[in-house]
Amino acid sequence: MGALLRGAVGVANVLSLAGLAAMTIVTVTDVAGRYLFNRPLPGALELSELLMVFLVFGAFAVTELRNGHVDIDVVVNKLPQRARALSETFAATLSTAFWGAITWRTALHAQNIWRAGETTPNLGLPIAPFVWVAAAGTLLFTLALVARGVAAFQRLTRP
Amino acid sequence: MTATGIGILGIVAMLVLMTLRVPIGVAMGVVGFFGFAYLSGWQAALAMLGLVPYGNVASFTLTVLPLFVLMGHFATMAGLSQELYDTANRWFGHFRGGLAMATVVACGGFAAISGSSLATAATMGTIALPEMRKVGYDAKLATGCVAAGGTLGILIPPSVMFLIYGFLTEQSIGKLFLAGIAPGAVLVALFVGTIALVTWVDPRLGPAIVRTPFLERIAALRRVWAVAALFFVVIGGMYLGVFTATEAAAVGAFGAFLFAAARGKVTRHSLTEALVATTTTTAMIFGILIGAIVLGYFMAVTKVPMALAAFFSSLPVPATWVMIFIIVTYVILGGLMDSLAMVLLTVPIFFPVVQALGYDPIWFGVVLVLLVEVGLITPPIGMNVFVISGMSKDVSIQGVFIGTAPFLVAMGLLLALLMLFPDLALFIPRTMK
Repeated sequence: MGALLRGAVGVANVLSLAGLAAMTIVTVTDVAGRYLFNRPLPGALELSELLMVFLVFGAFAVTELRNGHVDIDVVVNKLPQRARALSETFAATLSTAFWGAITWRTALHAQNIWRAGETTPNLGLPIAPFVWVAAAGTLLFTLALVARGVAAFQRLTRP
Repeated sequence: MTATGIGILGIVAMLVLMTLRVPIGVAMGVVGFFGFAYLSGWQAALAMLGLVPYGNVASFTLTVLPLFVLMGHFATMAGLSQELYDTANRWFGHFRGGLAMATVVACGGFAAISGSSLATAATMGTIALPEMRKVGYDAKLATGCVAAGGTLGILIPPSVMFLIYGFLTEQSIGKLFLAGIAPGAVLVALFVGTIALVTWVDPRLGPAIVRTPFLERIAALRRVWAVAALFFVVIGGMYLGVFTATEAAAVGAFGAFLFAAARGKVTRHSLTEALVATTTTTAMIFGILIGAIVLGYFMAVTKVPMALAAFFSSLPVPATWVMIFIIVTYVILGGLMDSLAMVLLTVPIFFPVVQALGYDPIWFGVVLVLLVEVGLITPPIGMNVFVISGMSKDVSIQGVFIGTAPFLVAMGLLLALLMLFPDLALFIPRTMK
C-alpha cells in the first residue's frame, strides 16, 4: 500500500512539474509570438488555466508527504507525547474527511460536466477530463492524509 | 441565534481547531462548510465544495503566482543572491556594522526579483550568516538583520502577498507592485540606519572589515546587472503595459532560467529542486486558499464583514482611530498566526471597513503588507525567525526575536510615514496609465 501510494504520488509530482514548465513555456511563447512575430499563441490563456490543474492538484499529495502544508504547532508541541499523538490523529482525521468530501464532490462535478459535454471557449477541449485530474489529485492527497492519520494513531495506541 | 452570532461562533471554533494543529486550510474549510450548510442548506454547501477547488485553480487570475515563485527560485539557482551580497559588501563592509548593512541592502535587491519573504530570508541567510559570523558579528544582530531584511521580499515587487491581496480585493496587481517600490526603498534605508545606530551604541556587535577601493566598488556594480535587468524587464514591462502580470512573471522566470544556464548552474538536480520547491509552495498556498474561499462563502451569508463595516463607519471617532485599531489588530494577529492565513482570513472582513472609511485600497495594500512583514518577525509565531534560527544552530529562537526587535522600530517608523504621507506609496502607481 505504502509503495503503491508513493509511486502514484511520484507520477502526480512529475505531472505537476511538467505543468509548471509547460505553463512558463506557453506564456513566454505567447509573448514572444505577439511582439516578435505578431502572432500570439491561440488559446494560451486557456492552456495556462488547464496546466494549473496539473500543477496544483498534482502537487497536493507530494506537499503532504514533505510536510509542506501549514499548521500551527507551538501549542501542541508543549503537550506530552500522548496528547500530541491524540491531536495529530484528530487533525489528520478531520483533514481526511475534508479532502475526502472535496474529492467526492469534485468527481460528481466532473461527471456532470462530462454529461453536459462542456468544452473550453477557444480551443474546444472537453473540460471534464481536467476535472477528473483534479479529483484524482485530491484523492491522492486524501490517501496521503489517511497514511498520516494511521501513523499518528499507532503512536497513540503504542504502549 | 442571528447569522452574525453564528459567524462569530464559527471564527472561534476555527481558531480552536488551528491551535489543535489542524492544518489552517482545513480548519477554515471545515468551519466554512458546516457554517454555510447550517445557514444555506446542505445541498448548497455540498455543491459549493465541488465547485470551489477546481474553479479557483483553473482560473487565469492566479497563474501568476507559481510563475513569480519560480522566478525567485531560478534567481537563487543562478547565484544572483551571491552576486548581490558580494557587491553590497564592497560598498558597505568598511562601516561599523557594514556586513549587516550589506545584508539588508542585498535582501532589498533580492526582493526585487523574488516575491517571497521566506525565500529572501533563507537565500540571503545561507550567504550572509557565515560571512558575518566569520568576522565576529554578534549572533543576535547577524540573525536579526537577515530575518528582518528577508521580510522586504513581499514589500518590494514582485510580491506574492500583493498578488493575494489583489486577488481578494480585485485591485490592479501592477499598481500594487509599483506602490511597494518607494516604501520598500525607504525601509531598506531605515534598516541601514537601525544597524548604524545599534553598532554605534555597541561597536563590538559588528566590526568593520577592510575598505574596498572606490574603483573596485564601481566595477563590482557591474556584477548585479542581471538582477537589475530582470527587475526592469518584469516591473518596467508591467508599468508600461507591455506585459500583463502573468506574462511578466513568465518572462521573468524564463529570464532567470537563462541567467542560470549562462552561468552553468542548470543541472538536472538543481532544476528539479527549483521546480519542486515552486509546485509545493503553490500547493501549500492553494491548500489554504481553498479553505479560505469556502470560509468566505460562510462569512458572506453571516454578514459579519458588512456588520463590522457599518459598525466602524458609524463610530463617532475619526477614521484614523479606526485605522490604528485595525493596525493594532494586525500586529497582534501577526504574532499569533501564519501570514497567509491572516491575510486570507482578515482582508475579506477588514477591506469593506477600510473602503467605507474612504481609504485608498492600494495604500491599504501597502500598509497590510508592511504589517504582514511585522508579523513575520514578532513572537510567538514569526516564520522568518523560525527559518533563520533553523539555519544557525548556536542561536535560540528567542535570541533571533531579540535580534529583530530594533528593526521593528524601523518598521513602525515607516508605518507612521505611510499614515502621514500616503503619497509615499501612491505617487508611483499614480503615474501609471
